[in-house]
Amino acid sequence: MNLAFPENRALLGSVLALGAAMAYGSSLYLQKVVVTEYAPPLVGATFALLFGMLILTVMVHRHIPADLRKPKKGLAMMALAGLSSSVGVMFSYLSLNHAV
Amino acid sequence: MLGITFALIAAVGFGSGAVFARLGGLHIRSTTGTVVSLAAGFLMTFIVALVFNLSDMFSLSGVAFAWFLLAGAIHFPIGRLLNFTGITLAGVSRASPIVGASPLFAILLALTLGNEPFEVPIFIGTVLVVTGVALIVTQR
Repeated sequence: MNLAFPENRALLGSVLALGAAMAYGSSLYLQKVVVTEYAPPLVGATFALLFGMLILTVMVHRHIPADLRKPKKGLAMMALAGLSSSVGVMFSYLSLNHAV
Repeated sequence: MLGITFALIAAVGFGSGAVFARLGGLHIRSTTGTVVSLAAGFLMTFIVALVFNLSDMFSLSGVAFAWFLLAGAIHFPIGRLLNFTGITLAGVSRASPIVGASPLFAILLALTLGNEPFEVPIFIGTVLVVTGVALIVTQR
């Protein structure tokens, strides 16, 4: 697939988004198990974030030093993305805790 | 009602996170960006959890950590990385609605593994979600 073509990029992005949907959907079910059986929502969200971060850091650590030297705008935007998404994660766990 | 309210707030968080990820993805590799986003998110969540659930943080069983590990591994390295990369390639307007189909897969698991009851409103919502995703993916 030649990613120089916008249509191919859009198609690949859509496929990856579908993969993300499957992963998020599966994790929703796991989150329900966690908040029902083992821990309060915020604690579950915290440790899930911690383990996810550690695993991904191990997977991609080679690129990180070079990327951290790039313009800070990208880092700032991704940090904001993380803060916003984590609000989503926290309230997702809270909503599942209050779900029937 | 409270659960629905929290779910709506969660949706706002995820939606705005997608927009920021798109903007960040223009300047930085999605893998590193995802790590940065996870670090920022963990910091905030950890502080909030310390304030409200300090005693619970240190009274967890080993099995609980296994579930945290599984949930975290699927949601973040796999889910968020695919999400942010998909957004970078296809744009927020195309990728985010597809990611929004995640409840569909949660429903499938809940019905099969969780033995939750199947109801007509769930079926109608599922059909609408699948139809919406199909329309977006086939858009030219």
